[in-house]
Amino acid sequence: MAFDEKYETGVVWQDFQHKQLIDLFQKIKEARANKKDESLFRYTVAFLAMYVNHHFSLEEEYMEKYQYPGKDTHHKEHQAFVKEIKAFRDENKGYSQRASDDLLTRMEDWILTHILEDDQRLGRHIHSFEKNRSAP
Amino acid sequence: MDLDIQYQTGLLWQDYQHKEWISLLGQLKEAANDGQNQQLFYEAISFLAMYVNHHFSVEEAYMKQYRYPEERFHREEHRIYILRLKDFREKHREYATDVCPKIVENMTDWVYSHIMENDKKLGEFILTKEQPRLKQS
Repeated sequence: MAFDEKYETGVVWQDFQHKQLIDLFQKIKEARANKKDESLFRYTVAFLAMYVNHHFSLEEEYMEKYQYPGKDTHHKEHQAFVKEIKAFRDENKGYSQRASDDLLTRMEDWILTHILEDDQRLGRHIHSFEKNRSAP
Repeated sequence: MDLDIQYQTGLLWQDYQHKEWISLLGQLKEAANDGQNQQLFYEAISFLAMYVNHHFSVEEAYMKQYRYPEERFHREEHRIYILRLKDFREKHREYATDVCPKIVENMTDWVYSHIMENDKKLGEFILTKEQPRLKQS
């Protein structure tokens, strides 16, 4: 799995953050195969914590200010992932191969459902909102 | 609460990240004032470093994407700040307790002047690229 155009929304900050998540997923997957994933694991967990807080709240700022019709559903998806990551962190204080696999599964699921589907819709809305707002 | 209007570039993501950055510096200052809690301070500065790195990378992604003419200068400003932050993170234990909050204040002042002198220009440039029709009208 690599970041390519099917993940792009065309909104630069959003694509940048999605790409970071997908790159990180790829890195852990490779490290996992080479049994070198222990040091990356800590970084990934810290990154995910920042990602779920910052990336989601930024998307939510856009949904609010750009009156996104799918706001409530999208917000619920975010909440569910935040909860999932929190539960994961509570269960896994340190590294284990099982925890690493579990994390990969959750990330992959998120990338394939949320980024590939829900965020595409939000990205289109951001584009059209900015376009209409700037129309003379 | 939104960023004071004079500091807004008009780009939601950029304003949002600036607001968060300043709020993280506020937390760092509190942690610095509470000289007893080294762990809290270390966590606050580590998180800030991660956040600032991210924020700069996003701005740099925009500069590259839209071929910003002042990219080199702007990146250099970012690099200097990252170095200051790194230096502070490494040496803060050597400073007297009253010095740390002052350094955080200086780093906060830097953010405000960087926004006024550099980011507003960058923000306007991005807007002309993304909303050409607005600028024509």
